[in-house]
Amino acid sequence: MLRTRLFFGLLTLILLLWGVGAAALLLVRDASKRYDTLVQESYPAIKLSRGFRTITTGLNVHYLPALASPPGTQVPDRSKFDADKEELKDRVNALRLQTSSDGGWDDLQARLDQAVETYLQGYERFFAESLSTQEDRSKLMSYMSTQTQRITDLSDSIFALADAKMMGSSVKSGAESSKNTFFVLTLVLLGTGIAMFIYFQLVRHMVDPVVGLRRSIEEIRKGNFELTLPEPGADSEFRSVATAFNDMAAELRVRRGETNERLLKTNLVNRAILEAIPSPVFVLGDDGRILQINPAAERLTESLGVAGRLPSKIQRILNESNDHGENHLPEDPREALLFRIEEREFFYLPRIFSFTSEDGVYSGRAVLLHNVTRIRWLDDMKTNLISTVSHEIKTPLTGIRMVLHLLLEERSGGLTDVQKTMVSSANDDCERLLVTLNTLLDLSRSESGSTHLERVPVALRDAMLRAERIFEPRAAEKSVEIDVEAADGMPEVSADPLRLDEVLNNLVSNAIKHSPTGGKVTLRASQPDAEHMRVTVIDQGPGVPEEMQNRIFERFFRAPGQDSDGVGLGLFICREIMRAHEGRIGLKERAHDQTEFFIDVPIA
Amino acid sequence: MFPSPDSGATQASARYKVLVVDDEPTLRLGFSYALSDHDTDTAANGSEALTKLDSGDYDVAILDLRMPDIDGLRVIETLRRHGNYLPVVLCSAAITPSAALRAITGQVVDFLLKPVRPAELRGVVRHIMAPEEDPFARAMAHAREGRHELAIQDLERMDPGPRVTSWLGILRAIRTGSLEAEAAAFSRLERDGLSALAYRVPE
Repeated sequence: MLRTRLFFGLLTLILLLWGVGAAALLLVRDASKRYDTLVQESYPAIKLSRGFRTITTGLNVHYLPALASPPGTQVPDRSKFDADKEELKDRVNALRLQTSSDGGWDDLQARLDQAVETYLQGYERFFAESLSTQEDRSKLMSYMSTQTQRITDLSDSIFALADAKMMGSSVKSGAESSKNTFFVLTLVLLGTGIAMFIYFQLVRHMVDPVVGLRRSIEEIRKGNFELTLPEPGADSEFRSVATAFNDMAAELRVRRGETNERLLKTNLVNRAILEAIPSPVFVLGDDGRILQINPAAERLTESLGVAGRLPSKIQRILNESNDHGENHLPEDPREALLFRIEEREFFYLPRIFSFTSEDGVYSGRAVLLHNVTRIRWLDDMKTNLISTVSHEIKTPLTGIRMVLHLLLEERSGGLTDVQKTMVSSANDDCERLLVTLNTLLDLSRSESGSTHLERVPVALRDAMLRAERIFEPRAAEKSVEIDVEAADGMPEVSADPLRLDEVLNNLVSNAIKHSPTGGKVTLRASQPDAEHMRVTVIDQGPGVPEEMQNRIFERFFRAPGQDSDGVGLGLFICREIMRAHEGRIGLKERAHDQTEFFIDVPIA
Repeated sequence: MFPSPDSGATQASARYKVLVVDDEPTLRLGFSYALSDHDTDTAANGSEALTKLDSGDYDVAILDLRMPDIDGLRVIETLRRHGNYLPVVLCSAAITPSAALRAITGQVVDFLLKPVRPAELRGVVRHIMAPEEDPFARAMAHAREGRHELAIQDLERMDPGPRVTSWLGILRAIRTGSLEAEAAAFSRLERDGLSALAYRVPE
């Protein structure tokens, strides 16, 4: 286990530290003891040797002047001599006690011993004999001086020897201490080695796995789940970490496998769906780049010569819908875009819708081009058919009507009452049929010709007054009052006057039709925004049932249960005309028991 | 043919020889009966009409526009080429602007929009053969005789209504003969739906 290893390694280091400390202490104590011995050994000899000269000098100064003086001079008593004599002897004895391994030591000591003896004998002679002659005295004098000198020299020698001996000891102890230094250094080096060893062990067992773990985590972040960590030995704390990590990587591998599989499946499904859609589909990212297009879109863009890109017409609509932040989901095939491919005309209805992922992070838009060429063709066919059939029916009908009229004129003979009723009824049906046919013809004309507008500035007020004038007789029949609320000096609108009249007439006609007897129809002009003028046609009729409000502008829509003639094209044609004007037509929410239809016409 | 119905009311007015040309048998029958105050003859198609008009001496012709062989316009043009300036009433369910222009150029200014009521039929014959003394009828009479300038002058003196404006536009376009004027008159006719040009019984 790393913990025990670490413990033992550090324990070794601590023990070593203790060892080095103890050794150092021991060595220092040893060295100081040795120095003490040395001093004890050498110091007395030095001190003793130094004493000889002092004593001899003392003696000589005390006694020798008497010797130098003329004979008969009182000789100082010998008490001092005796004391100093004992002192000298003591010193000689003490020196003899000083043992030394040095060879010259004993010799020097013997000679000093002898010299002291001779010196003392000299003084004995001084005291014993009365030295009467001058000659004897000077002889003794020189003798004494020679002996004193000798003692001085010898004691100096001994001093030098002792000193040399001490110096020698010092050198020896220096060698000893360098040995000790070497020993301590070795221990320190050993400690350093152990510390290094522990360091490398630590790195190997702690840092390396952590670094490896980090690297592996980074690899996994990059998506490389194949990596596994080498498992450390069974005694490593990192073993569990590595195992856990490897387990996690394995789990991730499996998960990714599943995710990949799911992605592949989803992709496949998506592709199948996209390929199955016969309409060209473009999936665009948030930045407007194309993420995916289906084979139909590929074929379309290729044949348009803009392979892989959005045709510019669609791009424009896309940008517009983007600016408005709305989906573009037109229903009317007439809003389709025309594409010419190999001399043939194709109509595509662009449906643009945006999508956002559930978490709202990803968004984009899809463009589906619904091919309405056939619908357009059928629509044209239908319009042509309606037109043709209407004409074909109308022709014989005119003949029938003519005959019925002639019969009713009774110019070819009188009719009985029953006959007259029957012919009248047939004539009414005939008239109704003709109205229907005319509306159908209007429809086909409006569908093929509503784009041909001749737009000029039109005074809205005049148009409203025209409608009022036209419908005044019919309103009077029902005692309905027509009220025009339009101020002078309103902006003129850009419209085709005849088409605008058609719309107004239709709305006013409806309003009168649905008004109760004695009601009021109001035509009101207003300005809802900066670009449009509005005419509101208000009646007090029962209104449009809510469930039908969305459908009243549809083709052929007739509110059930209404006895109106016509085929339900009036409002549809109005809407077509307003659409061609880039205007609006609509039904407002019912309020105050009034029905309000409005049209918004662009201002000129 | 059926015997002419007798009616005291029309005794006073003159009888004219009218040729009714239509491919619809019922209409031929109806027209003939409606015009029973006059001497009517019928033709079922363009070529028959041309033959009859070549030989017979008619006062007025009611001519259908759409016919299987030779249509009304070509009948008019053939007649005018042969120097026959017989008054003609062009009768059709739908008259296109170009057809109207061609007809007016061929001095045909009387149009009836089907379905036609008997009163209208009788009225238009009277309107042509014995015009009322009003400026519009006079202008139409001028136009019928190809005097467009005079017709325009008469119309300009009248109160502008949809009918007068339409006629002025189209006559001016024919007078100047310019393509722009013609196009303008065309688009006007297209929007008006030609009803303004058609004959209406005076109320």
